[in-house]
Amino acid sequence: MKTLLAVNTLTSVNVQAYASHLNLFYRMGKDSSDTCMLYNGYRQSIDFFRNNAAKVALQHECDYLMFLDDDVLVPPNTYSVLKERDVDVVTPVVYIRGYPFEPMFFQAHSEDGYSRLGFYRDWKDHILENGLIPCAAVGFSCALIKCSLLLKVPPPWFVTGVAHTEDVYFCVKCRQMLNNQVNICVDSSLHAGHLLDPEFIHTETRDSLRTFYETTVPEFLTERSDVRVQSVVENNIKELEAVPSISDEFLLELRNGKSKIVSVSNET
Amino acid sequence: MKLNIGSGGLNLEGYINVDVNPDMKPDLVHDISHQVLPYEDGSIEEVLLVHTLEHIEREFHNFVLYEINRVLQLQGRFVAAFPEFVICSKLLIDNYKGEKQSWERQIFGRSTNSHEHHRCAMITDDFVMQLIEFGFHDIKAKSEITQAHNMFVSARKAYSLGTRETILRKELALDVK
Repeated sequence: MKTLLAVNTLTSVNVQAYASHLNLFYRMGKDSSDTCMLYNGYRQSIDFFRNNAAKVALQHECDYLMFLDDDVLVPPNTYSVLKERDVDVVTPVVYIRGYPFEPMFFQAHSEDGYSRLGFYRDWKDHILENGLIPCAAVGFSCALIKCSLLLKVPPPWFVTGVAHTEDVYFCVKCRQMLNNQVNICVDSSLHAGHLLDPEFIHTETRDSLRTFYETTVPEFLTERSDVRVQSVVENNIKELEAVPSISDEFLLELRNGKSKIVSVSNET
Repeated sequence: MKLNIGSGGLNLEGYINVDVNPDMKPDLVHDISHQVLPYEDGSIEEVLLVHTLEHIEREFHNFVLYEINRVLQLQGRFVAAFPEFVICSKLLIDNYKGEKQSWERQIFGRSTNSHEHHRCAMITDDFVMQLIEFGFHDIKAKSEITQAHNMFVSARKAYSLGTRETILRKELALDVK
Protein backbone atom coordinates (compact mmCIF):
# COMPACT_ATOMS: atom_id res chain seq x y z
CA MET A 1 0.00 0.00 0.00
CA LYS A 2 1.11 3.51 -0.76
CA THR A 3 -0.23 6.62 0.96
CA LEU A 4 0.41 10.29 0.40
CA LEU A 5 0.00 12.35 3.56
CA ALA A 6 -0.65 15.96 2.58
CA VAL A 7 -0.23 18.72 5.17
CA ASN A 8 -0.91 22.28 4.13
CA THR A 9 1.25 24.73 6.08
CA LEU A 10 0.61 28.44 6.00
CA THR A 11 3.69 29.84 7.68
CA SER A 12 4.59 27.83 10.75
CA VAL A 13 2.99 25.05 12.74
CA ASN A 14 1.78 25.40 16.32
CA VAL A 15 3.89 23.35 18.75
CA GLN A 16 0.93 21.20 19.87
CA ALA A 17 0.05 20.34 16.27
CA TYR A 18 3.71 19.64 15.47
CA ALA A 19 3.98 17.17 18.36
CA SER A 20 0.70 15.53 17.42
CA HIS A 21 1.76 15.15 13.78
CA LEU A 22 5.17 13.72 14.73
CA ASN A 23 3.42 11.08 16.83
CA LEU A 24 1.15 10.29 13.90
CA PHE A 25 4.10 9.93 11.48
CA TYR A 26 5.87 7.65 13.96
CA ARG A 27 2.86 5.39 14.34
CA MET A 28 2.26 5.35 10.57
CA GLY A 29 5.73 3.94 10.09
CA LYS A 30 5.60 1.64 13.09
CA ASP A 31 2.11 0.17 12.65
CA SER A 32 2.23 -0.72 8.97
CA SER A 33 4.54 -1.67 6.17
CA ASP A 34 2.88 0.88 3.89
CA THR A 35 4.98 3.34 1.94
CA CYS A 36 4.03 6.71 3.32
CA MET A 37 5.07 9.93 1.61
CA LEU A 38 4.75 13.40 3.03
CA TYR A 39 3.58 16.26 0.83
CA ASN A 40 3.77 19.81 2.17
CA GLY A 41 2.35 22.97 0.72
CA TYR A 42 3.37 26.44 1.82
CA ARG A 43 1.00 29.43 1.77
CA GLN A 44 -1.27 27.92 -0.85
CA SER A 45 -5.00 28.45 -1.00
CA ILE A 46 -6.60 25.32 0.34
CA ASP A 47 -8.32 24.15 -2.87
CA PHE A 48 -5.15 24.74 -4.92
CA PHE A 49 -3.17 22.72 -2.40
CA ARG A 50 -5.67 19.85 -2.25
CA ASN A 51 -5.83 19.60 -6.07
CA ASN A 52 -2.03 19.51 -6.26
CA ALA A 53 -1.87 16.84 -3.56
CA ALA A 54 -4.43 14.73 -5.43
CA LYS A 55 -2.36 15.00 -8.63
CA VAL A 56 0.82 13.99 -6.80
CA ALA A 57 -0.96 11.02 -5.18
CA LEU A 58 -2.16 9.80 -8.59
CA GLN A 59 1.24 10.37 -10.24
CA HIS A 60 2.82 8.16 -7.56
CA GLU A 61 0.06 5.57 -7.91
CA CYS A 62 -0.90 5.88 -4.28
CA ASP A 63 -3.76 3.86 -2.82
CA TYR A 64 -4.71 6.51 -0.29
CA LEU A 65 -4.52 10.25 0.03
CA MET A 66 -4.62 11.54 3.59
CA PHE A 67 -5.24 15.21 4.32
CA LEU A 68 -4.15 16.67 7.62
CA ASP A 69 -4.48 20.39 8.32
CA ASP A 70 -1.78 22.14 10.30
CA ASP A 71 -4.27 23.14 13.00
CA VAL A 72 -5.58 19.66 13.75
CA LEU A 73 -4.50 17.40 16.62
CA VAL A 74 -5.00 13.70 15.99
CA PRO A 75 -4.61 10.48 18.01
CA PRO A 76 -1.36 8.72 17.00
CA ASN A 77 -3.19 5.66 15.62
CA THR A 78 -5.45 7.72 13.33
CA TYR A 79 -4.03 6.35 10.07
CA SER A 80 -4.37 2.66 10.89
CA VAL A 81 -7.85 3.08 12.40
CA LEU A 82 -9.14 5.04 9.40
CA LYS A 83 -7.55 2.65 6.90
CA GLU A 84 -9.14 -0.35 8.57
CA ARG A 85 -12.56 1.17 7.83
CA ASP A 86 -12.00 0.52 4.11
CA VAL A 87 -14.42 3.16 2.85
CA ASP A 88 -14.05 5.81 0.12
CA VAL A 89 -13.71 8.76 2.49
CA VAL A 90 -13.43 8.60 6.26
CA THR A 91 -12.63 11.19 8.89
CA PRO A 92 -12.51 11.38 12.69
CA VAL A 93 -15.07 13.48 14.57
CA VAL A 94 -13.91 17.09 14.12
CA TYR A 95 -15.62 20.35 15.06
CA ILE A 96 -15.53 23.66 13.22
CA ARG A 97 -13.15 26.17 14.78
CA GLY A 98 -15.53 28.90 15.75
CA TYR A 99 -18.61 29.31 17.90
CA PRO A 100 -21.01 27.45 18.05
CA PHE A 101 -18.50 24.70 17.14
CA GLU A 102 -20.71 22.70 14.80
CA PRO A 103 -19.58 19.21 13.71
CA MET A 104 -17.56 19.35 10.50
CA PHE A 105 -19.67 16.73 8.76
CA PHE A 106 -23.01 17.06 7.09
CA GLN A 107 -26.25 15.25 6.50
CA ALA A 108 -28.53 15.71 3.51
CA HIS A 109 -31.91 17.38 3.90
CA SER A 110 -32.96 16.63 0.32
CA GLU A 111 -34.03 13.45 -1.40
CA ASP A 112 -31.15 13.44 -3.86
CA GLY A 113 -28.75 13.14 -0.93
CA TYR A 114 -26.55 16.15 -1.61
CA SER A 115 -28.26 19.33 -2.84
CA ARG A 116 -29.27 20.60 0.62
CA LEU A 117 -26.85 19.94 3.45
CA GLY A 118 -26.95 20.69 7.16
CA PHE A 119 -24.65 20.20 10.12
CA TYR A 120 -24.92 16.67 11.50
CA ARG A 121 -25.96 17.88 14.97
CA ASP A 122 -27.65 14.64 16.04
CA TRP A 123 -24.87 12.36 14.80
CA LYS A 124 -24.77 10.46 18.09
CA ASP A 125 -28.22 9.04 17.25
CA HIS A 126 -27.05 7.72 13.88
CA ILE A 127 -23.94 5.71 14.68
CA LEU A 128 -23.99 2.32 12.97
CA GLU A 129 -23.05 -0.86 14.85
CA ASN A 130 -19.55 -0.72 13.39
CA GLY A 131 -19.07 2.81 14.78
CA LEU A 132 -19.32 4.60 11.44
CA ILE A 133 -21.64 7.52 10.72
CA PRO A 134 -22.60 7.70 7.03
CA CYS A 135 -22.57 11.35 5.94
CA ALA A 136 -23.53 13.33 2.85
CA ALA A 137 -20.29 15.31 3.05
CA VAL A 138 -17.37 15.77 5.42
CA GLY A 139 -14.65 18.34 6.06
CA PHE A 140 -11.11 17.33 5.11
CA SER A 141 -9.12 18.76 8.00
CA CYS A 142 -8.20 15.11 8.69
CA ALA A 143 -9.43 12.67 6.07
CA LEU A 144 -8.38 9.42 4.45
CA ILE A 145 -9.49 9.18 0.83
CA LYS A 146 -9.18 6.23 -1.52
CA CYS A 147 -7.31 7.30 -4.65
CA SER A 148 -9.63 5.07 -6.70
CA LEU A 149 -12.30 7.69 -5.98
CA LEU A 150 -10.11 10.42 -7.51
CA LEU A 151 -9.96 8.38 -10.71
CA LYS A 152 -13.74 8.15 -10.94
CA VAL A 153 -14.35 11.92 -10.98
CA PRO A 154 -12.52 14.41 -13.20
CA PRO A 155 -10.43 17.28 -11.84
CA PRO A 156 -10.67 19.86 -10.44
CA TRP A 157 -11.63 17.82 -7.42
CA PHE A 158 -11.61 20.73 -4.99
CA VAL A 159 -13.15 24.14 -5.62
CA THR A 160 -13.89 26.76 -2.98
CA GLY A 161 -17.06 28.68 -3.77
CA VAL A 162 -19.03 31.51 -2.22
CA ALA A 163 -21.39 29.16 -0.43
CA HIS A 164 -19.32 25.99 -0.08
CA THR A 165 -15.90 24.86 0.98
CA GLU A 166 -13.61 22.81 -1.24
CA ASP A 167 -14.12 19.57 0.69
CA VAL A 168 -17.91 19.74 0.52
CA TYR A 169 -17.62 20.51 -3.21
CA PHE A 170 -15.63 17.28 -3.67
CA CYS A 171 -18.14 15.17 -1.73
CA VAL A 172 -21.12 16.63 -3.60
CA LYS A 173 -19.35 16.23 -6.95
CA CYS A 174 -18.67 12.55 -6.17
CA ARG A 175 -22.28 12.00 -5.14
CA GLN A 176 -23.60 13.71 -8.28
CA MET A 177 -21.28 11.99 -10.73
CA LEU A 178 -21.36 8.55 -9.14
CA ASN A 179 -25.08 8.57 -8.52
CA ASN A 180 -24.54 8.45 -4.75
CA GLN A 181 -22.47 5.27 -5.07
CA VAL A 182 -19.80 6.62 -2.75
CA ASN A 183 -19.21 5.78 0.88
CA ILE A 184 -18.42 8.88 2.95
CA CYS A 185 -18.25 8.33 6.69
CA VAL A 186 -17.11 9.65 10.03
CA ASP A 187 -15.49 7.23 12.45
CA SER A 188 -17.19 7.88 15.80
CA SER A 189 -14.41 6.06 17.67
CA LEU A 190 -11.82 8.68 16.63
CA HIS A 191 -11.90 12.27 17.83
CA ALA A 192 -9.55 14.95 16.55
CA GLY A 193 -8.91 18.37 18.08
CA HIS A 194 -9.11 21.60 16.13
CA LEU A 195 -6.84 24.33 17.42
CA LEU A 196 -8.30 27.61 18.55
CA ASP A 197 -5.77 29.83 20.25
CA PRO A 198 -4.49 28.55 22.62
CA GLU A 199 -7.20 26.01 23.48
CA PHE A 200 -8.58 23.46 21.04
CA ILE A 201 -12.07 22.32 20.20
CA HIS A 202 -12.65 18.60 20.70
CA THR A 203 -15.57 16.39 21.68
CA GLU A 204 -14.41 16.66 25.30
CA THR A 205 -13.96 20.44 25.31
CA ARG A 206 -16.87 21.48 23.12
CA ASP A 207 -19.52 21.93 25.80
CA SER A 208 -17.26 23.88 28.17
CA LEU A 209 -16.04 26.11 25.34
CA ARG A 210 -19.59 26.83 24.27
CA THR A 211 -20.46 27.78 27.86
CA PHE A 212 -17.38 29.99 28.05
CA TYR A 213 -18.25 31.86 24.86
CA GLU A 214 -21.90 32.22 25.82
CA THR A 215 -21.15 33.63 29.26
CA THR A 216 -18.18 35.87 28.51
CA VAL A 217 -18.62 37.20 24.98
CA PRO A 218 -22.01 38.94 24.68
CA GLU A 219 -22.33 38.67 20.91
CA PHE A 220 -22.26 34.89 21.21
CA LEU A 221 -25.32 34.87 23.47
CA THR A 222 -27.49 34.37 20.47
CA GLU A 223 -26.98 32.82 17.07
CA ARG A 224 -29.26 35.45 15.47
CA SER A 225 -26.97 37.26 13.07
CA ASP A 226 -28.76 40.63 13.31
CA VAL A 227 -28.29 40.67 17.09
CA ARG A 228 -24.63 39.76 16.66
CA VAL A 229 -24.16 42.53 14.10
CA GLN A 230 -25.85 45.02 16.47
CA SER A 231 -23.39 43.99 19.16
CA VAL A 232 -20.41 44.29 16.78
CA VAL A 233 -21.55 47.75 15.64
CA GLU A 234 -22.21 48.96 19.20
CA ASN A 235 -18.88 47.63 20.50
CA ASN A 236 -16.95 49.24 17.66
CA ILE A 237 -18.71 52.59 18.13
CA LYS A 238 -17.92 52.42 21.85
CA GLU A 239 -14.27 51.74 21.04
CA LEU A 240 -14.27 54.65 18.60
CA GLU A 241 -15.43 57.02 21.35
CA ALA A 242 -12.21 56.35 23.22
CA VAL A 243 -10.09 57.02 20.14
CA PRO A 244 -8.73 60.60 19.89
CA SER A 245 -10.01 62.65 16.97
CA ILE A 246 -7.66 63.10 14.05
CA SER A 247 -5.80 66.36 14.71
CA ASP A 248 -5.74 69.31 12.33
CA GLU A 249 -1.96 68.89 11.98
CA PHE A 250 -2.38 65.28 10.96
CA LEU A 251 -5.14 66.17 8.52
CA LEU A 252 -2.81 68.70 6.91
CA GLU A 253 -0.10 66.05 6.58
CA LEU A 254 -2.71 63.68 5.16
CA ARG A 255 -3.78 66.26 2.60
CA ASN A 256 -0.15 66.83 1.59
CA GLY A 257 0.46 63.11 1.33
CA LYS A 258 3.05 63.14 4.11
CA SER A 259 1.09 60.80 6.42
CA LYS A 260 -1.33 57.95 6.10
CA ILE A 261 -4.01 56.63 8.45
CA VAL A 262 -3.74 53.18 6.99
CA SER A 263 -0.39 51.84 6.02
CA VAL A 264 0.50 48.20 5.62
CA SER A 265 3.91 46.73 6.20
CA ASN A 266 5.54 44.22 3.91
CA GLU A 267 5.24 41.60 6.63
CA THR A 268 1.81 40.12 7.25
CA MET B 1 -34.26 59.35 15.21
CA LYS B 2 -31.39 57.18 13.92
CA LEU B 3 -30.84 55.71 10.47
CA ASN B 4 -29.12 52.45 9.56
CA ILE B 5 -28.64 52.85 5.82
CA GLY B 6 -27.84 49.68 3.86
CA SER B 7 -29.22 47.32 6.50
CA GLY B 8 -28.85 44.32 4.19
CA GLY B 9 -31.30 42.15 6.10
CA LEU B 10 -29.65 42.78 9.46
CA ASN B 11 -32.10 45.18 11.04
CA LEU B 12 -30.76 47.00 14.08
CA GLU B 13 -32.91 47.88 17.06
CA GLY B 14 -33.36 51.58 17.75
CA TYR B 15 -32.73 52.50 14.11
CA ILE B 16 -34.84 53.04 11.03
CA ASN B 17 -33.38 50.37 8.80
CA VAL B 18 -33.07 51.48 5.19
CA ASP B 19 -32.19 49.33 2.19
CA VAL B 20 -32.59 49.46 -1.57
CA ASN B 21 -33.57 45.79 -1.71
CA PRO B 22 -37.14 45.08 -0.49
CA ASP B 23 -36.22 41.40 -0.04
CA MET B 24 -34.10 42.48 2.93
CA LYS B 25 -37.31 43.59 4.70
CA PRO B 26 -36.07 47.04 5.78
CA ASP B 27 -38.28 49.60 7.51
CA LEU B 28 -37.80 51.85 4.48
CA VAL B 29 -37.04 50.78 0.91
CA HIS B 30 -34.87 53.56 -0.47
CA ASP B 31 -32.02 54.05 -2.95
CA ILE B 32 -29.59 56.31 -1.14
CA SER B 33 -27.47 56.76 -4.27
CA HIS B 34 -30.26 58.40 -6.28
CA GLN B 35 -33.09 59.46 -3.97
CA VAL B 36 -33.38 62.30 -1.50
CA LEU B 37 -33.88 60.95 2.04
CA PRO B 38 -37.49 61.50 3.14
CA TYR B 39 -36.51 63.43 6.28
CA GLU B 40 -36.36 67.10 7.23
CA ASP B 41 -33.04 68.96 7.41
CA GLY B 42 -31.32 68.41 10.77
CA SER B 43 -33.87 65.84 11.96
CA ILE B 44 -31.60 62.80 12.45
CA GLU B 45 -29.26 62.28 15.39
CA GLU B 46 -27.18 59.43 13.97
CA VAL B 47 -26.56 57.79 10.61
CA LEU B 48 -24.91 54.39 10.21
CA LEU B 49 -23.50 53.29 6.89
CA VAL B 50 -22.07 49.89 7.79
CA HIS B 51 -20.59 48.10 4.79
CA THR B 52 -22.70 50.15 2.40
CA LEU B 53 -20.60 52.81 0.67
CA GLU B 54 -18.47 50.24 -1.15
CA HIS B 55 -21.68 48.98 -2.78
CA ILE B 56 -22.34 52.42 -4.33
CA GLU B 57 -20.50 53.74 -7.41
CA ARG B 58 -18.03 56.50 -6.51
CA GLU B 59 -19.81 59.05 -8.69
CA PHE B 60 -22.77 58.94 -6.29
CA HIS B 61 -20.76 59.28 -3.06
CA ASN B 62 -20.98 63.08 -3.08
CA PHE B 63 -24.75 62.88 -3.32
CA VAL B 64 -24.89 60.35 -0.45
CA LEU B 65 -22.64 62.44 1.82
CA TYR B 66 -24.57 65.57 0.96
CA GLU B 67 -27.83 63.91 1.98
CA ILE B 68 -26.34 62.62 5.23
CA ASN B 69 -25.03 66.08 6.07
CA ARG B 70 -28.44 67.55 5.30
CA VAL B 71 -30.53 65.26 7.50
CA LEU B 72 -28.11 65.14 10.44
CA GLN B 73 -28.47 67.50 13.39
CA LEU B 74 -25.49 69.74 14.19
CA GLN B 75 -22.99 67.51 16.04
CA GLY B 76 -25.01 64.50 14.90
CA ARG B 77 -22.91 61.38 14.50
CA PHE B 78 -22.12 59.64 11.25
CA VAL B 79 -20.48 56.19 11.38
CA ALA B 80 -19.24 54.33 8.33
CA ALA B 81 -17.65 50.89 8.18
CA PHE B 82 -16.05 49.35 5.13
CA PRO B 83 -13.37 46.88 4.05
CA GLU B 84 -10.19 48.96 3.76
CA PHE B 85 -9.02 48.46 0.19
CA VAL B 86 -5.32 49.06 0.92
CA ILE B 87 -5.28 46.34 3.58
CA CYS B 88 -7.49 43.86 1.72
CA SER B 89 -5.50 44.13 -1.52
CA LYS B 90 -2.27 43.49 0.39
CA LEU B 91 -3.82 40.47 2.09
CA LEU B 92 -5.03 39.15 -1.27
CA ILE B 93 -1.64 39.57 -2.93
CA ASP B 94 0.07 37.89 0.03
CA ASN B 95 -2.58 35.13 0.14
CA TYR B 96 -2.75 35.85 3.86
CA LYS B 97 -3.79 32.78 5.89
CA GLY B 98 -4.13 30.97 2.55
CA GLU B 99 -7.58 32.53 2.18
CA LYS B 100 -7.20 34.17 -1.22
CA GLN B 101 -10.88 33.71 -2.08
CA SER B 102 -11.96 35.35 1.13
CA TRP B 103 -9.75 38.43 0.50
CA GLU B 104 -11.03 38.59 -3.06
CA ARG B 105 -14.58 38.66 -1.70
CA GLN B 106 -13.60 41.45 0.67
CA ILE B 107 -12.53 43.51 -2.34
CA PHE B 108 -15.14 42.62 -4.93
CA GLY B 109 -18.00 41.62 -2.67
CA ARG B 110 -20.05 38.49 -2.66
CA SER B 111 -22.03 37.76 -5.77
CA THR B 112 -25.14 36.06 -4.47
CA ASN B 113 -27.23 38.98 -5.75
CA SER B 114 -26.59 42.14 -7.75
CA HIS B 115 -26.63 44.35 -4.63
CA GLU B 116 -23.71 42.51 -3.07
CA HIS B 117 -21.07 43.57 -5.59
CA HIS B 118 -18.54 46.15 -4.41
CA ARG B 119 -18.40 49.06 -6.83
CA CYS B 120 -15.54 51.17 -5.51
CA ALA B 121 -12.37 50.95 -3.46
CA MET B 122 -12.83 52.45 -0.01
CA ILE B 123 -9.57 53.99 1.18
CA THR B 124 -9.70 55.50 4.65
CA ASP B 125 -7.33 58.39 3.92
CA ASP B 126 -9.41 59.55 0.95
CA PHE B 127 -12.68 59.06 2.80
CA VAL B 128 -11.51 61.21 5.72
CA MET B 129 -10.60 64.05 3.35
CA GLN B 130 -14.00 63.71 1.71
CA LEU B 131 -15.73 63.94 5.10
CA ILE B 132 -14.02 67.27 5.77
CA GLU B 133 -15.21 68.58 2.42
CA PHE B 134 -18.74 67.59 3.34
CA GLY B 135 -18.89 69.51 6.59
CA PHE B 136 -17.81 66.91 9.14
CA HIS B 137 -15.30 67.21 11.96
CA ASP B 138 -14.24 65.24 15.06
CA ILE B 139 -13.20 62.43 12.76
CA LYS B 140 -12.02 59.15 14.28
CA ALA B 141 -10.83 56.03 12.51
CA LYS B 142 -10.12 52.59 13.88
CA SER B 143 -9.82 49.03 12.67
CA GLU B 144 -12.76 46.79 13.57
CA ILE B 145 -12.19 44.96 16.85
CA THR B 146 -12.09 41.42 15.52
CA GLN B 147 -11.53 42.01 11.79
CA ALA B 148 -8.65 44.44 11.35
CA HIS B 149 -9.14 44.69 7.57
CA ASN B 150 -12.45 46.50 8.18
CA MET B 151 -12.37 50.16 9.21
CA PHE B 152 -14.83 52.03 11.38
CA VAL B 153 -14.83 55.80 10.83
CA SER B 154 -16.96 58.21 12.84
CA ALA B 155 -17.47 61.93 12.38
CA ARG B 156 -19.79 64.67 13.61
CA LYS B 157 -21.59 67.24 11.54
CA ALA B 158 -19.77 70.56 11.93
CA TYR B 159 -21.95 72.71 9.71
CA SER B 160 -24.69 72.48 7.10
CA LEU B 161 -23.57 72.53 3.51
CA GLY B 162 -26.43 74.71 2.36
CA THR B 163 -28.76 73.93 -0.47
CA ARG B 164 -27.63 72.19 -3.60
CA GLU B 165 -28.28 75.42 -5.46
CA THR B 166 -25.89 77.45 -3.28
CA ILE B 167 -23.20 74.80 -3.62
CA LEU B 168 -23.70 74.72 -7.38
CA ARG B 169 -23.45 78.52 -7.53
CA LYS B 170 -20.20 78.40 -5.53
CA GLU B 171 -18.78 75.75 -7.86
CA LEU B 172 -19.79 77.77 -10.91
CA ALA B 173 -18.24 80.89 -9.41
CA LEU B 174 -14.99 78.99 -8.79
CA ASP B 175 -15.02 77.72 -12.36
CA VAL B 176 -15.45 81.24 -13.69
CA LYS B 177 -12.44 82.41 -11.68
